[in-house]
Amino acid sequence: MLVVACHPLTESFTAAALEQVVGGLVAGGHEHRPGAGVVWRRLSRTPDPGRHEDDLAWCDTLVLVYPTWWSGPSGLLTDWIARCWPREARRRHIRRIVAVTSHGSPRYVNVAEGEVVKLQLAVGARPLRSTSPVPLAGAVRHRQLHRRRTGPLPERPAPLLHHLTAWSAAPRFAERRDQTQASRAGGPVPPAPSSRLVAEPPFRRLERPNAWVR
Amino acid sequence: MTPAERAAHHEAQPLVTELVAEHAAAVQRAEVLAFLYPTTAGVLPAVVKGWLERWMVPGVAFVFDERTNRVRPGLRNIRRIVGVATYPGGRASRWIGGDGGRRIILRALRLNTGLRTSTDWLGLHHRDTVGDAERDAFLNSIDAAAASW
Repeated sequence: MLVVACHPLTESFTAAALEQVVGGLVAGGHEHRPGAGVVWRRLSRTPDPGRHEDDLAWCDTLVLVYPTWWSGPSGLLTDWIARCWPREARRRHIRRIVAVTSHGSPRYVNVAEGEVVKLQLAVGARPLRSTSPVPLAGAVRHRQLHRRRTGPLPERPAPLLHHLTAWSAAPRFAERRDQTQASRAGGPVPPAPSSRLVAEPPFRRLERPNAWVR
Repeated sequence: MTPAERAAHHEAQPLVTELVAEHAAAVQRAEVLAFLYPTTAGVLPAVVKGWLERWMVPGVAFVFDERTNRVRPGLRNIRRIVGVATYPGGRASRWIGGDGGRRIILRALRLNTGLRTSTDWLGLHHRDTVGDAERDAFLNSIDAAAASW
C-alpha cells in the first residue's frame, strides 16, 4: 500500500490528512499484514522517479493525499503522475486507488469546474490495467476475462473517492494506535479523546476572514 | 508552487518572486489568453498547471468581496480564452478521460474572467500516428482561427 502526499507546506491540512490516513491504516492493522505494509511518500519539488517506480511496482493499493487547486491536481502531483504512470502493463497489479483531497470551494463550484482529478483517476487510471488502446472497452474486457478465469473478482477495482468537506483535525494517530493495541492485548484501554477537534490544530489557521476556504 | 509561495498565498502580498509578479501583471494587461500544450497523462502538463497556480492568487485571479463575503472574478480584462492541444488518442478516449486540461482552462480559469469572455478550442487527435496532411490541415486551421481571435 503506497500513500503519496503532495503539499508544499509540512504544516498543512493535507499533512494532517496524511497523518490520519497513515494512522488509520496502522490502526487497521495494515502494517502487520504480510506483504502489505504501508509506505508513504511526501512529494518534493525534486522527486526521485526511480524510487517511486519501485514503490508503484510493489504496491497493490495507491492512496493519493493532495489538495485540489483549480479543479485539478497540483502541479507537483501532475508532474508525478506524468512521470511515474506510463502506459505499461506492470501497473495492472494496482487493485484500488483512493483519493483523499480537500476542496476550497462548495460542491456546486466543483461541478461547474469539472472535477478533473476524479475523472482522471476513475477513468484515466483504468486503461493502466488493460492492454486495449480503448480505455473503457479494455477495462470491461479485462474484468470479464478475469471473471471467466478466476470466478468473481476478489474486490471491486473501482476507485473509492472521498471528499474532505469539513475541517476535522482529529487526534494524533499514535493515540489511536495505542488504543487499538491495548484493546487487542486486553489491557486497560486509554480513554478516547473527547473531541475530534484538537485545541491546537496541526495546520496553520488563516488570519484573514476566509469565506472561500471551507 | 514553492513553500514560500503557498505560505504567502493568503497574506497581503501573495506574489513572492519578481518573475511571478511580472507574469501576473502581463496577464492583467492581456486581452486574450492562448494555451498551446501537448496533453500529458490526460491533463495539461505540470509546467502549465504550476504556472497557473503561481499567479492565480487572491487579488489577481479573484478578489474577495467584503460586503457579500463572496469571491468575485478578477480577470475581467480577458476577452477570450483559447487553447490548442494535441491528444495521444482519439476523440472517444478524450471524451472518456474527461479532457482535464480543457476543463481546467475553460472552466476553472474561465470562472475568474468576465461574463462575456468567449472561448475557443482546437485539438489534434492521434498526434503520434497522424499523417503529414492532417498535421498541415491542423496548422492551417490554427492560422484561420487565430485571425478571428
